Amino acid sequence: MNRSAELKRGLILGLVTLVVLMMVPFMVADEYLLTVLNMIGIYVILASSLNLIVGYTGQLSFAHIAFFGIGAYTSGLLGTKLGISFWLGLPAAGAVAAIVGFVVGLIALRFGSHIFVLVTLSLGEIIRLVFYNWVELTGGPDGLFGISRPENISLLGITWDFSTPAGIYRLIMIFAVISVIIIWLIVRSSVGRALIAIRENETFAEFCGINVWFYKNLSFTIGALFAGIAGSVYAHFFGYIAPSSFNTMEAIYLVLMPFFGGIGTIAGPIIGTFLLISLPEFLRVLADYRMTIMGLLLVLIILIMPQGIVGAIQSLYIRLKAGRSSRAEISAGSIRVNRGG
Amino acid sequence: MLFIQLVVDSLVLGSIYALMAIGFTMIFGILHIINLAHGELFVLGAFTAFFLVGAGVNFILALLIAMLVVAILGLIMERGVYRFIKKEAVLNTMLASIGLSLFLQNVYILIFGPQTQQIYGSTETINLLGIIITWQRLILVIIAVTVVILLNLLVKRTWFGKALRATALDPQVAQLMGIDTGRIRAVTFALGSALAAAAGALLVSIIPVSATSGFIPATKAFIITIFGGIGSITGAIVGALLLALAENLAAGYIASSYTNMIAYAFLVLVLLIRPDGIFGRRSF
Repeated sequence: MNRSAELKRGLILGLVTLVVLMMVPFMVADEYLLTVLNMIGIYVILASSLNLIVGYTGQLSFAHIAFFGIGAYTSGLLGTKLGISFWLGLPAAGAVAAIVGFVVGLIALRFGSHIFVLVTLSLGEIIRLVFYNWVELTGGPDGLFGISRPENISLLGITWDFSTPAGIYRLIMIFAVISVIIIWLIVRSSVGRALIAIRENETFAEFCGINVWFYKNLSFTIGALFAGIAGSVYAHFFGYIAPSSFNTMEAIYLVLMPFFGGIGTIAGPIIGTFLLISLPEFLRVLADYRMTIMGLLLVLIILIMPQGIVGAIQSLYIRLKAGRSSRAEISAGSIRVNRGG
Repeated sequence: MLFIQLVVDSLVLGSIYALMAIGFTMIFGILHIINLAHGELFVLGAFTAFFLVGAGVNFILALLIAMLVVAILGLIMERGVYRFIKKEAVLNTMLASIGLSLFLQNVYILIFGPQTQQIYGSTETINLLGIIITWQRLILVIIAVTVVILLNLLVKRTWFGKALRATALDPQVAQLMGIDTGRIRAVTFALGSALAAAAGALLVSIIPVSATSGFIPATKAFIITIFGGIGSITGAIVGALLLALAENLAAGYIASSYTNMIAYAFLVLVLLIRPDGIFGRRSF
């Protein structure tokens, strides 16, 4: 399939998804269900932008939740302290998160693999502790109250009221779908190819003339920008934010989303987010056992399908397509890989 | 005087951190596993000691039993989960350890409940030239030092220690020399787990521990490991004492809510200056 046809198909798919999502409030009146969908929408922005860093650039960052927090606090504070509208707070949140993300990236991206993990974990936690300790500004551990819903806008004679469950749901879905489309466009551009080259082999990418430092920082900053936007939407949807929403446990949960679905794919983070947010809700019947089950599920997923759900489906598809004769070859190859070391 | 008091307190906290970090760094250095479930081993150690002491068992015996119980749990983790994940996939192993951490944490809540537990011993203090320390804390430091000395003898003087160091240096050559590296890995994991249990048992005798309080000590063990150099026992001890000192100074002179922030800032600063940690790599 040539590239322009692929582009067209992708955009149509995005548009169809958006239209279908817009119809949902006509069929679902349950406010609780819409809230769950809203959470999924916000986390899809987060998980997809994290996937740009983890899945496409190969850098496992635990600082992403902190950029989400920066966005939430920036736009929340602008709204509550200065009375600035959501529509100005949103770009401000994205910008501040991107700037902080750039600085964090400058420090953390000097390190590789596990040290990068630890440095991002630490810097993320430092940012959260600033929210926690700066009581005069952020309200400290009690959090920030009374963040207003996005102001109504009139478009083509229709007034969008974001105080209704359906209104805010549609707004979040628009943000989620547009974010995923933009990330997809970045991934399939020359920038995306540079990122994948870095993920596959950093030294060789450098050898090919790719400015590794620049592209790593770029992907990290773009990721932080999206996280900031998600944070702003989150703050104005819930109306209340607290440092506990951005702690290490949440950071870990966020990292699991793209891994669950399959990193380095567009569908992976969406599937992962959907499962990791809706499963605990369904498991609510089991109340006390649900986190135990989640932990066990995670261990099993890594043991059984380390490439995530999308990766497992892909390799299953390849096996089925390859047929019987080459299946022996594939399994022989995997045995060889497993025995290395 | 406050300064000296803080230094003494750091010695107590630092010896617990050291036990945590030595286990962590050994597992990291030899098995290449970043075991973020290390904190859950620590919590089980604390709870086992708590319930045994509650049942009237002598503290030292309770500590030893706790170490044994947790070593068995560690063995199950290594044989049951980590062994099946490819060694090169460091990040996958880490995610699996997060899964184990989540699982164990919630199993503990189901079994032991969410409340905190603490062993209340004697509060008798001794006054050394104006420095006040409870007997309990003094004994704690003595136990920690004893454990570290025994471990050092094990690593430096025994056949097992030699095999361990060989495996850390080059697993393939070690295997060619007839060392069962699989067994060495399993035993190392059990040993590291037992050290975490010792840290837990000692900590529960001075401050309350709950089912979920394992995660922060595990991140701190990770910080100390990177700081001291992966696989370095000396590095872990020095790192643990320095981290405890930095935290206590922050708590003493600024505010106690800043201790964790200091720990993280400490790590980032050290790494910016010395990316391989103060003792380099694998200097067993």
